[in-house]
Amino acid sequence: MRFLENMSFGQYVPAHSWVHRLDPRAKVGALALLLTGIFMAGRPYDWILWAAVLWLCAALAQTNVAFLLRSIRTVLFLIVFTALLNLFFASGEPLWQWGIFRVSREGIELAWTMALRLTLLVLFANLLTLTTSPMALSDGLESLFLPFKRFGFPAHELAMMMTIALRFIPTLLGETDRILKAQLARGADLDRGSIVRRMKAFIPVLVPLFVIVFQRADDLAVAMEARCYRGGEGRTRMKPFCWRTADTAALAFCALLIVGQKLLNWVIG
Amino acid sequence: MSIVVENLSHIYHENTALQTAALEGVSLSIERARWTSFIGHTGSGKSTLAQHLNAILRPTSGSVTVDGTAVLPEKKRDKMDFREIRRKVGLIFQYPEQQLFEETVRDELAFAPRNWGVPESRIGELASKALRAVELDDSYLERNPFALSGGEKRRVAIASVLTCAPDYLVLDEPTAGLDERGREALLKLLDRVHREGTGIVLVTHDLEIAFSRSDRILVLDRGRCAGLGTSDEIAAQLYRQPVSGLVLPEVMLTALKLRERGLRAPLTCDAEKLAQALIRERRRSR
Amino acid sequence: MISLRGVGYSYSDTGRPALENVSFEVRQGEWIALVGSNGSGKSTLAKHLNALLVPMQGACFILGLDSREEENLWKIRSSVSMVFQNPENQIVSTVVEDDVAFGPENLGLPAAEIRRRVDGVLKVCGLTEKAGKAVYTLSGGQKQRLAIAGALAMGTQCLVLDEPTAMLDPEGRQEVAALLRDLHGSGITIVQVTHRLEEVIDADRVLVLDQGRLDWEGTPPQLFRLKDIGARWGLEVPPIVILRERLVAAGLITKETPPTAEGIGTALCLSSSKI
Repeated sequence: MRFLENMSFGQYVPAHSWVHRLDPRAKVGALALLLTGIFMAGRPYDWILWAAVLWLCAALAQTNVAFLLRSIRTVLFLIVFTALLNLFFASGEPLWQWGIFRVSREGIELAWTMALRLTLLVLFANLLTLTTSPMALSDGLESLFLPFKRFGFPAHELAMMMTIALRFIPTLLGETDRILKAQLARGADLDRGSIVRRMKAFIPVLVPLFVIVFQRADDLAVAMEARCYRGGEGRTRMKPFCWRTADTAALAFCALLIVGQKLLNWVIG
Repeated sequence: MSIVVENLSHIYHENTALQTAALEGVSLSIERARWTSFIGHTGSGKSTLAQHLNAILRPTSGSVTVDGTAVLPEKKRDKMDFREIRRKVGLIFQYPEQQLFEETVRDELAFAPRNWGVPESRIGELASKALRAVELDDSYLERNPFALSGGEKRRVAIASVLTCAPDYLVLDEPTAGLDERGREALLKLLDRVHREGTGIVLVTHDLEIAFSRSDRILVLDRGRCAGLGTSDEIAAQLYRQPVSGLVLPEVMLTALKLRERGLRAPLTCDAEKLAQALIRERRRSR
Repeated sequence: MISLRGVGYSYSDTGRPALENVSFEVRQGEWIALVGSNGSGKSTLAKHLNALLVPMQGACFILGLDSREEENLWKIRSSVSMVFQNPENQIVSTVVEDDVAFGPENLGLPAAEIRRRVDGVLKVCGLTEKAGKAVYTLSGGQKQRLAIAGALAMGTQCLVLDEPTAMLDPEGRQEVAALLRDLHGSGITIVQVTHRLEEVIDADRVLVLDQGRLDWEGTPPQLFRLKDIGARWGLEVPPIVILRERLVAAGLITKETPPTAEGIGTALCLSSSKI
């Protein structure tokens, strides 16, 4: 359970940087644009460009790339797994083969391209959650999805669910720890045996957690009702959004990056 | 037969940004025949210390030796012995009713013995015995733990640790959330368990319980030992040198104030006892 | 302010009703303590006071509004707020000031007004320096003060607290008790459900519930003078109060002595020096 302790992944760190002060809607939009650009990247100089952009954004957020890189540890497994999948199973002229595993030039290229893309994705996403409080983020997403409400999209409900889920992560971690230890004290063995046996051994931890979580949902619903909550209708915000030139500038910059990258590809080849 | 804690230190999240020293250089010896209490403010390390006594937590430095078997820092692994320690030293966490997960009380009580490898044939009798120890009868065996009242759930949770008759019972705030009746019933239970030979280690905020029942009290302040002695010694010490987060019970405080001003008064949290003593004292001085 | 007449409530069709024929009044500015052992119905009763539950028999009028009428719910809940036993399970937001703002945001108030209320209420509850911090960094006592702040921010006139200190450590209990004394002093009506009698010492009136019925009503001193409240209702008179009663009865100290260690200590020394 060591990774639970290293929750630097996605944690909001309050500060007054330029990035912190951007409208959350601009940040989400910027992230979307940046990701589009990253997934269009392929040439070596593209990666240099994005690395530079990342460095710049980190500096503007009063942090550094080294700090962001620590969050990679949590998803390292996923990135390596995806890279390996691409390495061994991509189609193309095989350079080396062993059974169903096939390494080709295309495979190698796909593998490290995918790895780099995912890494950049995680780093930029982290920058977003680092500089945006959970409340602001969920308000921002709610606001962006509001136009889809007429099609039945539950923008407010999703945003509220996100806020509440984030709010209770530390609490749940503490409770998991306590229940785990309580069952260990009763002789539970979670480290030995086959995969199936180990999964079954987690039932004494999962069932109590479910009970706690359901009770919590009940209690919280009553508490919210007691504070006059009745969904998104008529709700206001203490910290309303205020779109500034900086926000437009940020979005424009990201759009320019995509255009610039395309141009570079066309010119240099 | 004892648990010896030697120069125990524990650091959470070592080598990360969240590093905290929960315990620093704590030493004490817990005898099976005694009732030992750990008191201290929230975050003083009481629970952390309790979790070392049955090797749920390993020391960062120092050692915990249970009846001769040592629990050392993580470099030296030896899992088998820990299971034996956990059987001997039962640990009951705060709000133990939250650990229930089985469909019947019988299965819940059988969980620990099954884990320790007790033959199925013996489990029935152990379960019944444990239920009687918490003043519930066999009619509870087939019931669903989740359908019981809060008080009953807590008793079943405690019984589930008593099934293997541990030599020591460590309890972390067992009276949390209980009303007067519940508290009294629980203390009666613990008194009986102690009389029948189980060593009790109590982690508590309730100084009245600590003072009235402990043979030894350990005071923790920010991870360090701030006092170790009998109830009277610790009460007097806390009066002279208050420790943050610890508030002496009013009756005990009255007795201490009277002593300070030269009057004779027994150090007790029991109002009737103090009243009788003061009344007797006044009659004598007339 | 709040008026209950013959209120009855049951959670199930069989078995004993949770509440039976309960009638009482809460007047503006009063501090009422609702006491009883577990299962006496005090939580059920508390939930009627802000219309989280509506009576199955009888009626409950809050500020003159019948709690059974659905159109009254909004007004009732913005005037009478509830704080619950579990500090964790009533806080919605990640950041302290965002949670205080939750209630006013639900009421649809303008942003500036919400900000003003949040700042004011954080000050009253002593949480100003925690305003931007994450909720999980707060202690139990601080979380309950946060819950109270969230209730006050709605402009509430009456605070109903359902065993607010049951899950707190002694330090947390003292914090909450001190805050309630401050609030009472500033005119807020308080209804506090508890089983710890040392918390009712400052109350104006105590109502004792037993098995769903209102068994007794009176002032705290009157309650402490009753015999056998342990056997009757499962309550424990605070030990210091017992000590004081015994010493007064034996003539060692006077009736005016306050039920505190300091008070009794001083009084005894004075009287012994007179001998």
